[in-house]
Amino acid sequence: MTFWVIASYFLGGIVAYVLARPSRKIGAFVALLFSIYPLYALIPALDGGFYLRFTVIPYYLHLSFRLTLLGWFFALIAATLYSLSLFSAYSEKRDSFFLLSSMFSAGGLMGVFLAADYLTLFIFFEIMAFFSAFTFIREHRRSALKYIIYSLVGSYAFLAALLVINRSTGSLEITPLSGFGGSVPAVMSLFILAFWVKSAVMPFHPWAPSAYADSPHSYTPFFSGALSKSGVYGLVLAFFYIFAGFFKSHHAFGYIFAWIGALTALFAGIYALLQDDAKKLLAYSSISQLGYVAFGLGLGTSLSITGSLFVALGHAVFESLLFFVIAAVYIRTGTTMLTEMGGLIKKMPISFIALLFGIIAAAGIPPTVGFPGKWMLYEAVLEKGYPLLAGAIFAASITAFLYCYRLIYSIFLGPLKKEFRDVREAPFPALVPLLLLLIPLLFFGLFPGYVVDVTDSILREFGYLGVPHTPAKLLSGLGTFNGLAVGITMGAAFVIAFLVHAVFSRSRKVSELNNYTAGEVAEGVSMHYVADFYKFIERELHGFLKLRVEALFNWIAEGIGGLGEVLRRVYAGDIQAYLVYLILFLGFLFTLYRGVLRW
Amino acid sequence: MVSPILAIVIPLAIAFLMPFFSALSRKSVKWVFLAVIAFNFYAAIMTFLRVLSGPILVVTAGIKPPFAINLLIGPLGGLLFLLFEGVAFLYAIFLLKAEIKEPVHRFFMLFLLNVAGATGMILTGDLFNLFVFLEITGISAYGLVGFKRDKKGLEGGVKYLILGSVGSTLFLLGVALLYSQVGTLNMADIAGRIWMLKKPTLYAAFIMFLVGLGVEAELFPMNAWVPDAYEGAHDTVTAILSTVLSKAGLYALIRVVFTVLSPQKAFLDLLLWAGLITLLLAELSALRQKNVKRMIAYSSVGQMGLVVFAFGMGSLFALQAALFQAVNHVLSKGVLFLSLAIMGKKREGLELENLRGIGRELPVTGLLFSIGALSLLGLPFLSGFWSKISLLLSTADLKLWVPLGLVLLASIIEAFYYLRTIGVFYTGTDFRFRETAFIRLLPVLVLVFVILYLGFRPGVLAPYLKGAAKELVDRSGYIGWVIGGLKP
Repeated sequence: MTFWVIASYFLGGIVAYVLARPSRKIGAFVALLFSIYPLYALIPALDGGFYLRFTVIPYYLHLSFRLTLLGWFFALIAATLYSLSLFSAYSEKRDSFFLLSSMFSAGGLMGVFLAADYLTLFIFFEIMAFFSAFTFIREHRRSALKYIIYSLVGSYAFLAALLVINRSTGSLEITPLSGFGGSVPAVMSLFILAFWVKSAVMPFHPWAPSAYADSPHSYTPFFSGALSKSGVYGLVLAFFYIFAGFFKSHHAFGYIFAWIGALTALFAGIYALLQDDAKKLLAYSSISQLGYVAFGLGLGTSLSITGSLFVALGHAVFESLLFFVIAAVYIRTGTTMLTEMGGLIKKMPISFIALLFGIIAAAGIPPTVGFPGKWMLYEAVLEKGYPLLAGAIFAASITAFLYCYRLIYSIFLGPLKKEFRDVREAPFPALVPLLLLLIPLLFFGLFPGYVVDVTDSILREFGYLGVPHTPAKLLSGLGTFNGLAVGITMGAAFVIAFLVHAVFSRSRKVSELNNYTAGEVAEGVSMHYVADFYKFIERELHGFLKLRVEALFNWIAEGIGGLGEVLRRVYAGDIQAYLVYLILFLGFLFTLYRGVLRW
Repeated sequence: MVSPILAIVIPLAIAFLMPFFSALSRKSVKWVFLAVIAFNFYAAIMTFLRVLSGPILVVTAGIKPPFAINLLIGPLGGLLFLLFEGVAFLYAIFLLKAEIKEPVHRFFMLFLLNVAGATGMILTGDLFNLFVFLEITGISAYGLVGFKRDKKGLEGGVKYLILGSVGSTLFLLGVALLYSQVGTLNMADIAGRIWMLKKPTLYAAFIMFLVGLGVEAELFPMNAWVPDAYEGAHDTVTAILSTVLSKAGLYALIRVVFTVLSPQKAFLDLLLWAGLITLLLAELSALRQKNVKRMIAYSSVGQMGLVVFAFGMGSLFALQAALFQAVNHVLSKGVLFLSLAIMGKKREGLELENLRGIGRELPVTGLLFSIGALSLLGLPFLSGFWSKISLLLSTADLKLWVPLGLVLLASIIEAFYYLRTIGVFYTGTDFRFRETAFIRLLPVLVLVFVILYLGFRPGVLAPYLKGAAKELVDRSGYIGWVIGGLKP
């Protein structure tokens, strides 16, 4: 069964590729069917994992899979998001090769979550990286290459780690490692690099904004919401399972990692403020959210790990929702630039509602899925008593408010642009993921306990205590959170406010075009002040913004390229030079063996 | 039952009869060529199957070794024999529709000589005979490279000629050195008497062989002819240079080091580092190349470096990985050069810019090129992945962490430029579908099929690789086959 969960994507990719050539509709439909099967197969598998091993390669290597609870948790998220993204892709009229490569990448991702040995994990990690890059290498070669190179650096580091582990333990099975002395930190660093890169935690994030911005709009929700989770999955596995012994006894490591996560959350939030491309804004937002996850994992308490897993789930729901909205808006407007949009609220009301809920969740406001995870993280950091760390993570959450506001204001509020007067709501398939994602967004916000049921079992597998909870209530050492009660309160407040507004307001309805100029219609002047929305922040942080780690990586890449350019001159094209090389080499060899050759 | 010696004799004989065939009918030439190569392929299959039950010894002039020239085909020879003739057969099919500059019969004559020479190199059991075949292969290759008689072709041909002749001279010097000390030219016989050599002589001979054969095996710094020659030569010639010829040179080097001279630690270390430096330099040089053919030429050099590196590790496991990598290199480079040849027919020049959108225009060719390249990069479930991972596993087994890191670095660089190329192939949309003739695609399709098949069933090759690696490690076994018991 595990086999078919993975194979379904690969098989489906090929079938859809073939069928989409004559008819795009049939291709997309078949892809959807093949992507729903894994969902169907995964949902009942909640109780207990099972182990399945089959030898694909009758060489000295084999592939093995197993379904653990942690893998199940992430696999279910990924399978759901992938199926949803196909609806959006259908509206975008994506071609057959897109179906093939996106399905293969989803299959690779499933393989990562279900792998029982390092080699299988590596293999599927590679497949995922390559095929996700193939979805956009044709239109945006530069960002695809950037993405694949960052991925490869990470996954080759992982490969090196697995080779070291194999050398010292003689086995590739994913099991807790104990021993091999002083080299554990080195091996662990190599090991987590791949996942660090994939979850775009700073400073290995520079691939993410361009890759998220340039990937097909319908694929980005899956890319950001699910593929990055392979990184989270790997980090959880490394910290609490494989290297758990080391991690528990070296608190400094966790502390540093928590700082890295917190700073990622903060800095990425600041960068998000300054983006004009909605997808880049969301990309930085995504990095920021995964910074929270890394932060919680670094803290390493039951509450913080639960919080991290909850944020990971929440991120998958609301970040994908936001990306889906951008995809829907793009279908109608043909742009993702914030300055080019505005006032679409009446034209695309469903998208507006979806985006509204999405940003409420992204800003971490109850009763949505964005809140409980962050609540647990805050509680955890306070319990631990790290005031500076708490300050950084609180500051990060402020940036979320700011960029979320900019997002909704620039796209949906303000005056309508003239060229969008005839815009209609996005086609129905593109709206399906929006509507469906609202369900978990609210449900898990009201009843966070159902998620904590699962995370508790995961934690117990790792030898941690669970977080006390009921379906609607979460308890920490410092207090309780009742999702349902908060939800009812918020709902009631909203209804009362609405009634007050309806009964007492004396507002007059005006067209979007004249509410800014008191009735004077100024044609040709942009009344939508989004161009330099957070200019003052940019001005204040000017010096800080110039510090970019990307510059360092670019410098290294340039250096290697330049080295190539220099070394290329070794092959000067001059035969005399070549003969000199040959003679020099002979001379070198004779010198090398001078001790032996003296006779 | 076909005697393997016929696979050398018949192409040689037919090569010199080519003018007669040409006089008879100009069109017959390529068919005669195809028939001869097909015969060779048949002989290779038969030999390969026979080798499974034990090595074959073929004596000439009816005198037992070590007194006359003998051929010895063990598991290693059988594997390479099959590989060479199989690939050559595919090239022969590809050549049926190729545009070749007049006089065509000379081209095919040189090509036959080249195949015969390469076959001879891997089958012979005699060191001087090896030199003769090296010369046959080399001289025909110089001719083939310069065959187009344009500036680039001639330039590449001449450079190859100069370096190649220096190389073979050094090789001959090494042979002479050994002969002066042990008084025999039979490889097994020398191997049995290698203890007679003083250490300085042994090392001097090794240096001669390394530098001499390094030219053909594309080791740095003797490989400087490669980019020019590959770029200037006819596409199929480039393909055979990169796949068959380089492997023949490599085989000679490996055979001499492992069997004849005995694998000293110092020799292996030198091979290891020479391979590694070749790999890194070539990959870095390829990074900024604008011309795709030249870029793949550098990549070819890099792959040879990787294989030599793996041989330099010297463990049984590493040898298997090296052989597997060599097999994959043959498959991938065959695909790359042939599909590039098809693309070159549609566009002016093989600069990367000129090839924009070619994958849309030639979807099948583009796909095949991509699979070949991805196999080389080690995408899982393509055969290149398994060889690379086994190579890395054996590197780790020997705890060679620094070389391991360098190989991974080289792989990243390689991935970058190949993916960039593939990306450019699929950029743009407004291209008409103009796929080429099926007969030209067929050889590439076959190679890609093998890549995919081995990708899912790499175990199929395992026993043959193991046998071949054992043959290299077990020197006394080899000596025993020739000198002792085997019945011709």
